[in-house]
Amino acid sequence: MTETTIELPQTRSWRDIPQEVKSRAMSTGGKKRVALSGLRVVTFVAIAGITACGAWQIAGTLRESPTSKATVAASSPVKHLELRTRGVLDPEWLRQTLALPKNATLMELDLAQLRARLLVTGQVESAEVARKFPDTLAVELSERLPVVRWHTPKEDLLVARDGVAFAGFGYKVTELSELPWVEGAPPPAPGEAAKVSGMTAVTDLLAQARYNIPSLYARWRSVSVARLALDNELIVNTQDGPNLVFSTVDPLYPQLAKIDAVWSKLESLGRLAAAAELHVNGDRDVVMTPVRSLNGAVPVTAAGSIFSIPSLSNPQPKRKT
Amino acid sequence: MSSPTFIAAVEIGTSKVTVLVGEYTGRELAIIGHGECSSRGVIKGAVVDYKAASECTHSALELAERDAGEDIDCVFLAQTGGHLEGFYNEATVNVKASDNMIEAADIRTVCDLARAKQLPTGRMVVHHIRRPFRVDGRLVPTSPEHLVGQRLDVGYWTVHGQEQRLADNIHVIRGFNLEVRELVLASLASGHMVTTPEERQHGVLVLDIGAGTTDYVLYRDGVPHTTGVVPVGGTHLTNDLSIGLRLTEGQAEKLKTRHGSALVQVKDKSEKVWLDGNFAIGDRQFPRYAIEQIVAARTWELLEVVKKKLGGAFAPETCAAGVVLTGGTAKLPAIVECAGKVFGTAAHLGETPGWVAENLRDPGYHTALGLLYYGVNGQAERGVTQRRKTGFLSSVTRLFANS
Repeated sequence: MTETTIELPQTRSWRDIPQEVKSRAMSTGGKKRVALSGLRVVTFVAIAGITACGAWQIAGTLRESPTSKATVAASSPVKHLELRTRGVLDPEWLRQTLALPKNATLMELDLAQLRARLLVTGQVESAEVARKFPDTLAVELSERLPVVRWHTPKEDLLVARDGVAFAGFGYKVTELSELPWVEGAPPPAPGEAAKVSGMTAVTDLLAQARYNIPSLYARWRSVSVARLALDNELIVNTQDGPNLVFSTVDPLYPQLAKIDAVWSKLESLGRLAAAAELHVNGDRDVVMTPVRSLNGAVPVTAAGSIFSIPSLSNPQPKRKT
Repeated sequence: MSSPTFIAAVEIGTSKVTVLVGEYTGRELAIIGHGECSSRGVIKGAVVDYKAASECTHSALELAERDAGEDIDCVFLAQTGGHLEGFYNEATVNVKASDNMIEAADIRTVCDLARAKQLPTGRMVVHHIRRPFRVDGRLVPTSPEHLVGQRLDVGYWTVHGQEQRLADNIHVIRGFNLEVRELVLASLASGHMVTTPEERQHGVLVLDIGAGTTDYVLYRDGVPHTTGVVPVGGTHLTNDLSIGLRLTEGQAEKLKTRHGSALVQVKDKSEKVWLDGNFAIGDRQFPRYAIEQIVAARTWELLEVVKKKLGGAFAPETCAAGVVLTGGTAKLPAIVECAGKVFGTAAHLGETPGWVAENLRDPGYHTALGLLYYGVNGQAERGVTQRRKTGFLSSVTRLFANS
């Protein structure tokens, strides 16, 4: 079936009349309206341009000079310092560390700079500084906890689990006296942050000893990391007995148990003073190195003693109740 | 909520230019401004002096903008003039579907055919007014889509005018840097204002007798059936008085307004009236009978011309709602009775709806009022109303569009 297409005549409508008129055909009012429309466009473009320029300028100024923020926000001077921490640092330390300029307003402060100033102190692990309008500077700290003390040529420091050494503000002397010392670590180089390597192993040993053999741990004076890198060994110096050598490769718990058993045996036999070193390794027995006499001879009673402790195959360390 | 559009309804008449500003929100239209100015450079609804017509129109627009306190966005312009003519064209199509169900394509085809008639050179369509569809001769007042029938008929009353005259009117508005959004026949605007849908359904003839022209529209079945313009109006009555009584136009206008009547009502033929009534030098007396006789004769003649032009389209039986008179000259005393006698049916003066403000309740504002409402309704029906959009980008676009 074919479909026929009918050509319809095109009728012209009034809408086909071009509405534009030339300027000379316009009245004064019409010309004024055209001029006003043009002016409106120019004004709009100008305002948009000025606004964009202004915004760009302000952004640039704020980026380059933080003190200019004070002019923008018009805040009042800092009156309060708010400190939140779970550690021992106090507001006085905070005030001294921040050393805020007198009558400084909140908007004048460079928070990043203040945060960096706080982090210089090794005791501060992380810090957050925030403005609390109208006049409070809020600081939230996370502090490092000391594990051991470290005697350096310059001063005595505290060392945290991550090895960072710090002066230790706010701690009481009695609290710190209970901490063992760490030895054998190279002294800090001038201009560099003081740090002790291998502190993770030391911390694990001390934590397990304090929990499992508290009476023996009370006699520990220091832990040496001198042989840690080479032999994977930590040497504990005790108050009135032999040095204890622990392997960091083997599990600590059996080692502590064996040492505790041998120590008790020696103590009961009255031979504790004769031992210079008790060396324990995971599967091996505890080897006691006797004290050498002044002339170098080894006392007969203690020479080459090897304590076989079959009953300690599954040792149960004594726990403080 | 959408931002409103400010529409101006402009009627460039022979005696005055009227501008009404409407605030259209998409749902409601509120009149917020009004400007009026004595007309110059316009004769019988046609611009004959572009500069003078522009000046008075722009003055009225400025007044209206000032009164509204808002910038006008676009214009609905009333169109009248003796150059406007109309014709009826009908088309028929056979329904294509095998089940004889009328589809949108059938409707489109029959409408295109009915509208497609070659106009003489220099003529342009102002309105295509569709009459109701017929399916197998049965009248369908709404859309015939999905009805079943074999033959679909539709007719269009096409109003067309001279291109130059239409362009002159549009350019007068454009000279004020405003866009003409709608061009509406003056009779359709005023007819829409003074008649109710029920009257239009029953059949009604609206006569808008202005100063220079008389526009008429005959409604049947709820839609405009026939429209027309007679280039005779109130100024012709004044002119006749001026010639008959040897007066200036101003004096004749004064006499017509004070003592004119569409029917000779005076009992005492020797009764005389003063021209000014202030007994100043030059104040004269004129026989009231002569004044009434001149005015009545011309009014009767005018109405007879309209009746003649309507021809067979008008019959008192098909025009149950009678004749409605509006326009400035409709205020002439006894014109209602005169129209009743000429058309042989009831006649009454067009009433302004109650919600229109007191200062706009004169019959002279019916065209401008109707222009706003007819224009807005027409645009809403076509779904092409361009509301002012909100938002930054739309504002910027509008800003540049106005320039």
